[in-house]
Amino acid sequence: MNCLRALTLSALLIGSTAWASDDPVRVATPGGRPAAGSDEAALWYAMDHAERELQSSPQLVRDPVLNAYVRSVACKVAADYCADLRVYVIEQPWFNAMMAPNGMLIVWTGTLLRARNEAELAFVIGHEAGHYRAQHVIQQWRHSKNVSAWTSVFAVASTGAGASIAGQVGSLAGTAAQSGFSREQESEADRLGFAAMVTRGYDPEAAVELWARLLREDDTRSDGKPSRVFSNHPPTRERLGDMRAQVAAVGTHGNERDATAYRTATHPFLQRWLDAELARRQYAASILIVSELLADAAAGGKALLSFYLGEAYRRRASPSDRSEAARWYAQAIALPDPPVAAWREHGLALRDAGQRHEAADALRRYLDLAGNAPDRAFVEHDLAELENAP
Amino acid sequence: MMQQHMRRHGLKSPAARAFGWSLATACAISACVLLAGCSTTDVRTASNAIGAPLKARGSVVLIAPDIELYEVTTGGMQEPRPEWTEAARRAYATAVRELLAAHGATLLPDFVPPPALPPSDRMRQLLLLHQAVASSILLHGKPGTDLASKHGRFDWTLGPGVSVLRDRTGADYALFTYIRDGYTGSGRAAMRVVGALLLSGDIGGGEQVGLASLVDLRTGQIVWLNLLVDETGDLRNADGARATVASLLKQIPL
Repeated sequence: MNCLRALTLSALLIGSTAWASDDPVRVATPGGRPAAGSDEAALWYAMDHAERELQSSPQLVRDPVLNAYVRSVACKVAADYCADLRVYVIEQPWFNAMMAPNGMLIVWTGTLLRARNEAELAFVIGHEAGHYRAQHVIQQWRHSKNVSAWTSVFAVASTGAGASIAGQVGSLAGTAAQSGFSREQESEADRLGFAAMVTRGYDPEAAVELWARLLREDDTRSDGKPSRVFSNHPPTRERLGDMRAQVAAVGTHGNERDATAYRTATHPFLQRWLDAELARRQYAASILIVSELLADAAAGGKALLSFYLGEAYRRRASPSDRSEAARWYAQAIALPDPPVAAWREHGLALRDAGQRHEAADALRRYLDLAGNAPDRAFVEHDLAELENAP
Repeated sequence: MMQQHMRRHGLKSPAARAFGWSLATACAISACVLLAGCSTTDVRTASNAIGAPLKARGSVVLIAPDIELYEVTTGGMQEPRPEWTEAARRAYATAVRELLAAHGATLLPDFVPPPALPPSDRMRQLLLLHQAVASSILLHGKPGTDLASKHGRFDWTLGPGVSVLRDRTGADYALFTYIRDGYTGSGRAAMRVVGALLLSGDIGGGEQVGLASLVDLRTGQIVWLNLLVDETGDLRNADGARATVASLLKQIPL
């Protein structure tokens, strides 16, 4: 028994000396790399491997124009660290951006759909570049290594002493500490993100607007579970408060938002991203996202967004959604440059409402415009039924 | 990526071993639970029409082995060790050459897939297909998970698309390898002694998981496959690599 007690003590001792070391992070400099053989070099190695996989991924957006634009924004806010960052746009319909410790910066297309202007994107990237500059990943890794070391010592020792529940609580705390950056680290990255925005003349208020928009989206969730959308950056109210305080602390700042450049760069992909957004099957969120996009859109983009708002209602198919959908399809075809599919959906909505002549006209219009659309035969069939009905 | 096994057993580093021994000896408690390495293999060989195991006849190409070595930290997290991995890839390939030469097999120059292949590249898709099929073999290889349509036979193929690899290498067979190996640092070794003493059980150190398969490049058929789980293997040196290869390529029908 003495032996056991001595061992428990020695384990705790080892825990407090050998395992809990917190090596200082290296001094960050542009072009800086980890020391060979360090744990940081090991992390970079793993990330380089992941990056090579990413380069062969079918989800990587390879469009040179969009990539050049996102990279140009990254270079504005990352400034002297621009050459250290490699930007990857990934086809994923959720809001997310990630910074790997080796300089691999990932922006999901769901982020580009949700942002309104260059200033908002600049904040997202500036925040991620802040994680890179402040070397948060290696800090977090060392912290996790230490925390899990401590909690296993705690778990082993206390379980041996018959206090298994306490041991389990220790493990849980260890698990929680490993799940992402700390609030302090997020706050530091925000501060660096704001500083980078202000240096480039962007309006930092744009970041607060983006965050508030994400919070509104998260509020549409009815199941109360944490959203996968925000797996890395949960849109908490306290974070919004932190951000407002940081903007207030910035003092005088520019008011550049550059909505036009942003719209020009992202508009060619809007339809694709909206399709992916609806495919998430989170229709309450989609209805909010598309409604707000529609409210903020320039005149030229309103027909497309009206159509997708109709689609969101149609697919959700709650009792009143069919008439809502019909209303938005009707708006879409009344605006300049509606998507061709709006004529089909408008026609089918009119048919369901019993307006057969108008329905047939709309379907004919669709067939005129649709060329060799894959659903052509179906629509011809629908049209024939309308024309031949007594 | 094939999924990595989560169990970890076996002391690996000499320092860990020494530390484990001294504590265990001091307390006069048998440490065999900690140090007795256990290695299991799970060999499957395809059979011909009359049920006899297939024999591979022809040249073989070693596909660049997918090997990663980690250090298992005190808390059980895995930290990659690039320098160990580099050494292991070299030692493994050398040991495979030795063993297959002893079998009298004709070994062609190793095939290293080009980096950064586009997603639609047939070679990349073939390598990913092999991962997927090997995962399925393991998934459906346990009692109760076997597929009724296989009628108890080891009957898996990558299909005729393997011709891209045959055209590229000229080989009749391809040997694929996947190995993940974790090694305990001294911290976790000490923990294991504490765990064994206080909990009468092993909290685990490091573990080697390896998979090798031999694919007929004329038909796509997976002729032979082995899964190795080893608590004591060490790929970082030539002797350890020879031992691992001897276990991993057990009963390879060459």
